[in-house]
Amino acid sequence: MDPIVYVALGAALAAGIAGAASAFGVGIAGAAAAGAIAEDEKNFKNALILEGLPMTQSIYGLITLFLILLSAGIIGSGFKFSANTTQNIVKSAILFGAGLTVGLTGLSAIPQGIIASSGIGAVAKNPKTFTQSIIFAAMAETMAIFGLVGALIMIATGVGL
Amino acid sequence: MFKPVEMVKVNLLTLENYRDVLLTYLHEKGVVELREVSSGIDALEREVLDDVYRKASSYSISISRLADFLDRYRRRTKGGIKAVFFPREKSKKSYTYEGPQKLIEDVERFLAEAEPEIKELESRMGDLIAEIDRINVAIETLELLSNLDLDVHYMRSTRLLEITVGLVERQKFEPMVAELRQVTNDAVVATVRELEDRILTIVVVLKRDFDKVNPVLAKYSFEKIDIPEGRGTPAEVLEDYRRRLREKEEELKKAEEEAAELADRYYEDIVFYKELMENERDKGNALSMLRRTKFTLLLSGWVPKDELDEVIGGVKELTDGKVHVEVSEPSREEVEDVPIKLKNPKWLAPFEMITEMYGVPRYDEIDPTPIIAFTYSFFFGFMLTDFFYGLIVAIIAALLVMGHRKFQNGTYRFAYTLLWSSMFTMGMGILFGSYFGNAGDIVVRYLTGNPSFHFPRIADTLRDPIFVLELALAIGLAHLFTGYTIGFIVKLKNGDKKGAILDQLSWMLIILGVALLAVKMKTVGEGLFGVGIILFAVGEVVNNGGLAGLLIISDFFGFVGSWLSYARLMALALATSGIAMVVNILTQMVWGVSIGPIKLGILMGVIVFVGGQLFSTAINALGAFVHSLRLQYVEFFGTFYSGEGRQFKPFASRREVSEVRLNKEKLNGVAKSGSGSGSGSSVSVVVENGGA
Repeated sequence: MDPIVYVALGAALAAGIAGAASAFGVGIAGAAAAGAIAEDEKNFKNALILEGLPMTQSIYGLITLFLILLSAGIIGSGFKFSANTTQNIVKSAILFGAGLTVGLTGLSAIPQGIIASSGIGAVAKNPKTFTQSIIFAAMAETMAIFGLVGALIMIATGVGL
Repeated sequence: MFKPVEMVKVNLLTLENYRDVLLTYLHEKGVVELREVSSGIDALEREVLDDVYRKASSYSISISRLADFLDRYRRRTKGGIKAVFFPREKSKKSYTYEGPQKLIEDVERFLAEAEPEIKELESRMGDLIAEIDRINVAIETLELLSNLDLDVHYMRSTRLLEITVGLVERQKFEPMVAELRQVTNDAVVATVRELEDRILTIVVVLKRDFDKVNPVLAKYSFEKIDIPEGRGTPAEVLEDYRRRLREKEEELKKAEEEAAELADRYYEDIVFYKELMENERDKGNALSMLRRTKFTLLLSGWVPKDELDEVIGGVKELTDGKVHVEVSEPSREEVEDVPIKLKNPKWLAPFEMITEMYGVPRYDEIDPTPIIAFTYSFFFGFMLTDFFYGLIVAIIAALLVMGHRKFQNGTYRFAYTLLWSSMFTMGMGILFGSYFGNAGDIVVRYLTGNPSFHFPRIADTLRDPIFVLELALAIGLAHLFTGYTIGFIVKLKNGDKKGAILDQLSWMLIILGVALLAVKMKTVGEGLFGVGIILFAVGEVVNNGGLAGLLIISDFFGFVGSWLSYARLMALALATSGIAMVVNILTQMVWGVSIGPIKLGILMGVIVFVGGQLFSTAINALGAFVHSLRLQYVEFFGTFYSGEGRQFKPFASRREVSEVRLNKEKLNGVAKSGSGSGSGSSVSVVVENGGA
């Protein structure tokens, strides 16, 4: 494959998978949030915050997309790996791997949405559980963070920014 | 700071006659957390819930029903955004308290005036709403029948004929009619109108055949329709019903208006008496904690040490010195029972909220509030890392702090922690040269014409993420080290030497070793690390015996996981500058757009920039809040903190809309004549004036 294919796929998978997973997560939590405000409109603020938690993975995906494009020079000076040399293929394959890492760990947005939706249910019954619910949901994000850190190391040391 | 308020256990012995006075005094004072009297003496009886308190409890329910009803219809002033930041204080009404009996009488007098009026309106409105519902059902039916050109009164049964109107599914219609003909020997008439998927059917049979017909109708799930009252074709009757609906709705609106007027008149008083009654009910509930003999009363509870003298002084004054007080420091066995009231200077106190959300420390633990006040705010700042984002958060937080200071409520405390966090955010923003991401650089470059200008910074988060990652992990190591050190000190102080060395010191050494290895001090580092690992392994064997082999591995990697978890500091910092950069790039893309001479791009650019940066502030501040909190709760508290203490919940009155002045003469008069208690006889026994 040409280097451009690796780079484009890496960027697309990072933002695409993570973004889609975030959408699922927010969707799951959002359905619970709608139920909670039907019970009592005062739940709106708490439900909204919990619903927003699975959104972060899409942000990590988007950032990775930008870093990949930046690293490959698509944003800025112009595509660096246009020549089909081994070195360019290796570098662009690393970018592909970085993007895939963030995309796949971004799937954690779905379970996070499930946790958040249960959290919304708990908060609707007892507002005091709000912080605890947030912490539970934040646990699921750790994997996405590890993915982002791994991808960054790949990009920064393997290719350079 | 670091230690919760010192508590002492107080036992009070006084005359039964003073019960109500004493309870009221302690309730208003709100500094004692009651405990059930444990004496082991058989002669002591439980206090009985007497009539006054039972009434209070039932009135508090009936008043709160009235309050709920009026609250639905009362006129509200719309405050808008100003009310969010600067809510008005609720006005307090004053009440002179002369004993529960008198209060109940006052409430009864008020209820006698207000309750019938409100109840009458409530039931009238209930009737109206039921009537409107009925009319609506009738209208729905009539709309169904509206294409029948037949007087509705022909659709009602007569003396000889049984007429049934209803709906049946299309495919069931034919067989149903066939079976009806069969059971009635053709003595049946069925008229039809076809609706979408069902058939409107009118079945007419002789009265004597009805018993045979009814099961057939049920068999084909024939859905009967009740024909509304009236004469004329359905369309005419419908007109009539619609007119009645309008009338009733008009009436209901008037009734709602009346309710609003009633609310103007009574609502304030109702919530006032509701609060008074609820406080009285709570006093009644506390009775079960007390013990009595025929003439004496025993009360027991925890009091903060610095409030002790005042409380005892007050009690002595109230009871004319006829009281015996016993004070004791908490014993070792009582450590888990001591209620915890955190004690921090005023500028730190709002951060107690964060500790309390997790759980307050046990009496022999350290209160981590002063530490997490700094680390929480710093982590928040690290993750948001932008001067202008910090400024936006700071402005909102400062307004909330100003507006809510007088309430000292949750909003105030949260806004105060946010204000601190925003200061750190601005500081970190300057350190990393981030002003709306790279917008600051772009603007200055444009203004000065210097294409390589950038604000001074220690590192660019986006260009040099590895440096930020190292920084985050170093901070994490320091944070964990602090936690283990605190745990070490606490365990040592509580005499748990084994735990201190094996569970805490081992990790401290491991962390020191890692830190020294990182700065290339190889030999010392390896040595400390090795000693730490050995202590840790010994600790696992001592604590878990046979399972140690597995747990050594899992706990060690648990530690590594906790440490790496601090990478989120970098990830969120990167997320902030990433989103800010995306917004800036989008703004630059639309900036140049113009239609002919009109520079539309500038307007679009401003909209994209303002909207995008505000969104970015909100989403990143949320992330920073959540993850900063998580680092405290999961990683930091995991190293030393149990949070198993019980929070101090004093026996205290709630005074949001009322304030009470105690009429001591009257109260004491009641106590002296002995009518306030169940014993009923006047008492002249003098108990020795005891002190602590």
